[in-house]
Amino acid sequence: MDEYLYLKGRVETRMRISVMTATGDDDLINAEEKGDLEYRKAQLKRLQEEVVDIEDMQSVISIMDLGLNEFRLDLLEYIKRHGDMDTVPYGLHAVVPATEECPPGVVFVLKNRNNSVNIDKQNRLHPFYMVYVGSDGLIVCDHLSPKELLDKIRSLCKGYNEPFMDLCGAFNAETKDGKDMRQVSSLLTAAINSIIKVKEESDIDSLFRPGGTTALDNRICGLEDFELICFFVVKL
Amino acid sequence: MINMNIKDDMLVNRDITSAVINKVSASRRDVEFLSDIDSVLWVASIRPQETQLSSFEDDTRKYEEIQLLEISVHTYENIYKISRTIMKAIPYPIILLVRYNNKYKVMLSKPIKSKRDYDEQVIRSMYQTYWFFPDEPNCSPVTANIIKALDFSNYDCSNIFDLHTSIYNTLLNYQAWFLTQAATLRILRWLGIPRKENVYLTCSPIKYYPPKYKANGYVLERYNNYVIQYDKEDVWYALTHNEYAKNIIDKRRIYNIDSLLFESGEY
Repeated sequence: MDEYLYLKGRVETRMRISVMTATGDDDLINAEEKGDLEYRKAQLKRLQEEVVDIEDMQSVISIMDLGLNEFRLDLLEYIKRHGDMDTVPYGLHAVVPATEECPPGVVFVLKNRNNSVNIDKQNRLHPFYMVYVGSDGLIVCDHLSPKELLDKIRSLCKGYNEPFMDLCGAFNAETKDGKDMRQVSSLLTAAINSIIKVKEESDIDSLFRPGGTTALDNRICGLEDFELICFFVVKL
Repeated sequence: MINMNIKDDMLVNRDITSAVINKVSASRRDVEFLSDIDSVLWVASIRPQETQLSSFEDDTRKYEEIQLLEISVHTYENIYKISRTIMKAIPYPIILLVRYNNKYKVMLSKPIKSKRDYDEQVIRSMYQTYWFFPDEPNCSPVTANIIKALDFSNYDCSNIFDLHTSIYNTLLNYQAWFLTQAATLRILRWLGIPRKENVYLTCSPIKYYPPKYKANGYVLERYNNYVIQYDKEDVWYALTHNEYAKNIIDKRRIYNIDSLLFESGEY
């Protein structure tokens, strides 16, 4: 029995190695591995199309540039220091100063309530959705680019342990201490509309590639399908 | 409107005109014929998740889902080319409804995997049905039968491939037969209808370029001279919707196009 378990473990490990080095969906034993292919495919497609970006990069491309591992490491580090975040209530927000790369607006972190199906199998953070909306209502970064968005959040927040009191004060004054959140609510609606719009575009794209269409998957109706986990207000 | 008895959870109902035009334009140089398209509607997607059907795959065929599309055109000359191009661009078996004014046509094919690229498909055995007129109050037997063949509740299949093949085979009975322009004029003469009545004004004649065949049977190219042809059902619709012609047909007790062709000696 021990021998069998050892063999099973070894085979599974090998399988995982092959998945990490290949294009996904190669692990025949693990059914959960399904669907990995889609975003890998999207990554490769992006690499194929965005050659200029890669050439612009000074250093060599590492596997870290494509995944979210560095953020996971950051998170592990945070949990080590500050403990588990499961008890943190929903709806927390922070106010951070805008930069050249990050225009004024709001970054929303949302959770899809109906998490049985991953929309398009492309959102790597499913069931969580992150959208960066500018204060003019235009989308700065949509939910299918979590890496870019996390990079922006990191650049906005890393190294700051204390709140920006002057910005918080200004935000509280604007919203009457959170009583009048109309502006943020309208941006939240714009963020959710962008998710729906991106999904519609992606659904139509799925018609032109094999592997199954997504138009009937997990129809998002609107605001009631999401709950707000937290948001960052980016202010000038 | 055609009632296909498709469940609500299979309905997509999205306009994909620009997406189709962009996709086809990216892969072809001669895209003038795309300007004939008014709209492309993605009506429904029949897939295993919403049905009891399983997907099907073997060495040569891959039937994951069936897509039901409806295209509206404002000219009918290029409908075959448009349909074929759309079928090639979308890597799923398609039931394509083509709408021109008040009449419809179904385009069907048996796609197989491309040996060059498994993500693409090769369109084989494509055919078109007769024009049919679903909005007419007293529709002809052919129209009624085509509508019945498009009713999904009539099929009891185990997988997507079976369903598509069943629909393909059922509608094959209504594959369009064409009459030459000369034959349609002979019918008019036989019925004693003067040409000035313009009976065939509502018809959609097509230009048929006879193929030159290779020794092994493949079409090498087509002749430059064309023959004008009329869809048989289209001719019958035109005759029965022209008062002058209808009176004569009723007097002669002719009830369908086949008996008309038989009586007039065109068969």
